[in-house]
Amino acid sequence: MRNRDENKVDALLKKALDMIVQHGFEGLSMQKLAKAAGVSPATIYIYFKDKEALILELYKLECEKYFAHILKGFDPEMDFATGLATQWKSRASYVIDNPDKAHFMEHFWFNPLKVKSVKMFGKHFGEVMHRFHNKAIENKELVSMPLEVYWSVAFAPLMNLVRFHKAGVNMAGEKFALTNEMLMQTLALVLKALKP
Amino acid sequence: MNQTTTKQTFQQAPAMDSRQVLVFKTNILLPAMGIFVRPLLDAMEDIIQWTIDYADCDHVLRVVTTGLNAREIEDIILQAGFTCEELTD
Repeated sequence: MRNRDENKVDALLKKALDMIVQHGFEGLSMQKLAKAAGVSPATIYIYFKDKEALILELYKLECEKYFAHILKGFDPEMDFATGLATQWKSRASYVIDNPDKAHFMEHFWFNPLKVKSVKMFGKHFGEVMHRFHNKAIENKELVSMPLEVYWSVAFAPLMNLVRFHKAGVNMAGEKFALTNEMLMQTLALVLKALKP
Repeated sequence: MNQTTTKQTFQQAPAMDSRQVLVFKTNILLPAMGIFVRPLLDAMEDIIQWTIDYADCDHVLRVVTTGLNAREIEDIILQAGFTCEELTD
């Protein structure tokens, strides 16, 4: 029929992301996407065999962009406090600057497709993060603990503050905006907890 | 994930890869009906991959082929007792 037109694929994926953010995964269908993007359903099927394939490709693409962003300016050889502060800054800024993308990636966690996405990614990002983690333990900057416990202490507090910020309200429904001071205060508590 | 990333048109000479994707509207509503077309499509050497999107209202049959034209695929599906109509841009 025709060559893969990357611009067209990008436009379709962008539109799909908008629809998912506005109406949830159930709000997206190949037919609705075709209508919204002003193309025929046949065009979409040339690139994606079904809605699942499209959502998976979108997730992969968005994660790759996110990983690339948070590796920028980061070096796994940094001392633990500097490295974690760098990670916090870039993760927070990405989510705050790209609320729709972040919303989609977070929602994907609750989609049954999540299981299928596990083996889609390259190893680079994981290797960099493992190196940072392992080296910090070797240098006695970090307590040794299961990786999930480490992640939950090191990053989940940040993700939750950003979530409040994005929503504009806290857990009690009161107005909330994240400040740099709060971010640094939380980071200091996290570093204290992780120190041997 | 998507194994079909390279596509070529009829017009463009198949330099490296003559694969193309054809898309059809069908009335193959359920996987239980798909089993009647499976042996026919699987038997075609020129078909690299095919899928039916049962969730879509057009029950879209998507075929990646190296030489069959739309008419030939429509005939296969009609032979199995279903409707099949090429969707174009």
